[in-house]
Amino acid sequence: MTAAADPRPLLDQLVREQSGQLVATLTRLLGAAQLDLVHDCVQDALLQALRVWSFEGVPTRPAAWLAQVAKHRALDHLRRARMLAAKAPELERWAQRSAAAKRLEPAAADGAPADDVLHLMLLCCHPALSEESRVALTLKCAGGLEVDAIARAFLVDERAIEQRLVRAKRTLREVNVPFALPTGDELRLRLDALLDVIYLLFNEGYSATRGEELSRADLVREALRLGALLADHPATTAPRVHALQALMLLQAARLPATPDDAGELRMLAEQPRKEFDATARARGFWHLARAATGDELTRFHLEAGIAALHAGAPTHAATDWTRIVWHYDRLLESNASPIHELHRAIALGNARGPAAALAALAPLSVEARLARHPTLPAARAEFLARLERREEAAAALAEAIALATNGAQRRWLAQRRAALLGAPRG
Amino acid sequence: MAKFMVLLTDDPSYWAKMTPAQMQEVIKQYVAWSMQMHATKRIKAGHKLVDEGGKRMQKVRGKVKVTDGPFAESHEVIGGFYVVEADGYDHCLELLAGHPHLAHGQRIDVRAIEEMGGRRRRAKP
Repeated sequence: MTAAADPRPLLDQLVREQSGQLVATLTRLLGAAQLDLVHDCVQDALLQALRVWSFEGVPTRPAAWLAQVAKHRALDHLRRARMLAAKAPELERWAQRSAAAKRLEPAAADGAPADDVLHLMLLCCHPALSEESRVALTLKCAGGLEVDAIARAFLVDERAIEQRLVRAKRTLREVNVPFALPTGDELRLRLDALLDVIYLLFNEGYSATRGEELSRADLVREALRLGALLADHPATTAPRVHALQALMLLQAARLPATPDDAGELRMLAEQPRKEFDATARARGFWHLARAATGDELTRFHLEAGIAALHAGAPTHAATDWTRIVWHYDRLLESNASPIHELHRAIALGNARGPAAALAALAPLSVEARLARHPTLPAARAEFLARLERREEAAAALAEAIALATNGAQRRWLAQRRAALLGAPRG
Repeated sequence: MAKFMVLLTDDPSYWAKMTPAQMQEVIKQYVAWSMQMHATKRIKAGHKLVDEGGKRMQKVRGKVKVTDGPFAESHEVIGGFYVVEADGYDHCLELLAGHPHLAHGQRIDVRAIEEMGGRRRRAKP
């Protein structure tokens, strides 16, 4: 038989997007205090839809189909909770709109759905919630990620995520947050928190901290989708939003070049530029241009600038390392981060030679936040090797191997060490 | 080409043990299978049947007797069916071999549909 392409990734994406959309719309209709009820309805609707689709196939307009099912679920739940009179008319109007949208071209459907998801994300980033709750809630509500996926992404057990979600929902109920677009300072604050959440999500996907896989494409895609939503929406579009989107796209452009043919890690220096994703890079530069329209210079601007210098360089050697060092200096002025210090030292080594790098790396070895970071000894090894101090370099690599938590990274380091010691490559 | 009636028999207790999230993952496998079969136009029809609330009719001593069922407690419920088009029994079974229903220990019954009107009357064995 001739098998069609595996539809799983598309299906996963559909379910995630639709679930985020449904949670957003139902939260608008039922109120932020009803998030539990909303999640139950969406869960039920998805399950019922999937069971029908496993026989009938996926309909051409799954969104309208799901909206109908979710409406019926919500009405069932409301009937039981005796809240029917107050909310039913609104639900009715929504379901009719969805049914009407079924007959219209997608572009002609009203713009409310994107608004709902946006409001929901900003709700999830309410200042009354802890940062970890914000992340979990945003991923669960707007990202449509299940508890086990969130737990996997952040390496905590499912019960901990479950508890964070319960706490977060309770807080939202207690604070009684309205489901509406905040304004002024409140909007700025929540948008900043949301940008942090999205970048966290992106980073988790971009370099899976643990496990054997190098990156989690689904998390990267989700971060890019949510970022695009913010960049496109008139209420939230801002230079720093474009800067974050540029940063993520320019970094994601490198993903296809990261694994070598054996699926193993390949460091930036070894990545063939021609394998970069040209579309993602072009879109990254487009957002970068829009990021430069205001007078704000956020860390996203500077990090996007660095990513652009990498993505735009014809080869690793021809990278403008001096400008990269300049960007790190600006970043460090506003935010003293040992990770940035580390990357600055590496850029400095490429700009001014291994001795400069080793001098800049030396004071970082006492930094507690880098104590468990394999990149520090790996960088030291790299520059020691360039000075032909092979044995010291091999010792530093051994340190890095001991610290590496990602399987692919560990194998790359071991290979590098073997090559350095003149042993045959494994 | 011959058509086949494909019946998916469920043991409801198997599903009752799963959390909704697990069930969603499993059912996505089903949907992925049906998407592929629909894409290659192998499935001519397919419907999920409502789990509960079925009726059974039988004439008992000259009168039609109606009983309720199946129930979720029963060991076997027909969860749904497809009409699959294939070259013959072997081909049909081959198409179904990858169905996740089997991977989850459930049963599939396949019957050839009798066709009339000048076409081959019986599917190749």
